[in-house]
Amino acid sequence: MAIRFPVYYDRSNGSLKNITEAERAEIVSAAIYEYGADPSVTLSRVSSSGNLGTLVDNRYKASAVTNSEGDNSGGEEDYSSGSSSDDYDEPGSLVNVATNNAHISQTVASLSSPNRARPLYYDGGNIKHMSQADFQDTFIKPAIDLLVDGSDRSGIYKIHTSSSESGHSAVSGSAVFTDTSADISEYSSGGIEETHDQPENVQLYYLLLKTNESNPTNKSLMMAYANGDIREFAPAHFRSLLRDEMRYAATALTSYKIRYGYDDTGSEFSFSGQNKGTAMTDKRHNSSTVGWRMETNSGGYADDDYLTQRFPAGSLETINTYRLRVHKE
Amino acid sequence: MLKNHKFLEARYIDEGHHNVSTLWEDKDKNIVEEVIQADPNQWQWKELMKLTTIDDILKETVEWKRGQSRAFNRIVEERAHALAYALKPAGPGGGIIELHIDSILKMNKDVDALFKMKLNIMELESVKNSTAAFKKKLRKAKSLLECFSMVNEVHKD
Repeated sequence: MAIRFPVYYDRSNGSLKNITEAERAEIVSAAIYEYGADPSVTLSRVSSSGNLGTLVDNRYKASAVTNSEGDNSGGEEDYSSGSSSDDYDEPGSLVNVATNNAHISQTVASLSSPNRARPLYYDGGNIKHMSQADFQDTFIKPAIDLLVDGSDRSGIYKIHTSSSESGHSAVSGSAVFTDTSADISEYSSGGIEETHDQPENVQLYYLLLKTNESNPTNKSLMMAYANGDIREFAPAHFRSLLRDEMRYAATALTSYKIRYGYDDTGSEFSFSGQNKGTAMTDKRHNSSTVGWRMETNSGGYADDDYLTQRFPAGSLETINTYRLRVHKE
Repeated sequence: MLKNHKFLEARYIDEGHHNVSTLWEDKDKNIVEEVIQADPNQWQWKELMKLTTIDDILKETVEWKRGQSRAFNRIVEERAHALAYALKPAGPGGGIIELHIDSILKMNKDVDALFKMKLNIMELESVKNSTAAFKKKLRKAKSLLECFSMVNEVHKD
């Protein structure tokens, strides 16, 4: 089990040569490309019960209306008189609306370990087949290290604030997390009793998949037949081997399995790894205001009805930040 | 980190400076926000540090907070001026008060302003001495102009 430098046929002088480090890196790039063409650990957008977990979006809605009958014979009082007013009772508190977003499911393909002829390498004076462990150490593990390094890599998912981005495809046109808040412009004293929950979307977050761009070139390595003859791999045959080994490793190779999960600034998630795309923030208004109006019953002050309702107000503050992460395990 | 985008600015979005809002511009001049974690172990943070510095992020954060504060103060001042124009009563010395019909019309059906105006009008002796039916009608007035029109019926200087 080691990194090998397999041989290729050098047509310029008709001999077998070891690939160089740069040529090994090209094959690693090709392995990433093949994985990107057909990833074996996939994320999908589901309508509910996504197995990656539930992200909670919080927003405030208005309180219930408090109806008070005025009893201050000195005249009506402005709410700004405060809670000591004879005419007003304090309305209740704002009510939190929690919406579950469980829209991402991870699927790990069930694959068998590939059992195929692998490239040849020089071992002292002998030519040997690379073992599967050699092949993994030489090409597959370095490729998976790159796939989970946090940068945009083919076959790896990320979160974005738009459903389109260059070099990516949207898994779905529907968002995987929607941050909502109260639309505070909709609440007014004159409208009491206002509809309690008047939400608006603050930000929609989408799941994107990095797609393949240019297909890298690589040296054609050598393989051996059972009778001892050696020949070059057919390009498609070698790429198929790379793809199968990558797909298998991502699902089942110990310490190199690719997995996704959530991390957050709260206490719900703690998945280690590299963040993928933008963090998803759950914002909620940080204050409240009391709306009020008088409903006249008759000419006397004492008969006046006062309606008060607490509305969300202030500015948006982040109460939790969710991140999609990827790692190897 | 967004490829093929132009980096514009970054600022912290939390008191603990754990997260940074970064703004980017695409080729069509659309602005895209990406929130990244201020964690030196994260690839995104390492890449961001190639484009800016922590000092610059701090400066941008301070400037953003100042801008927010200025915007808030501006809203408060505008609201206060509008209310002052519409509701300021005449002083005993009969000083010159700027009355802008635009301001009154703007707030003509504003429920809060209307209620405050009714309270003021109810304190006028002429209105206090008016009939219960008049007061009831006044309470039901739907606009400032309707209030003024009614007061004109009973109030004599």
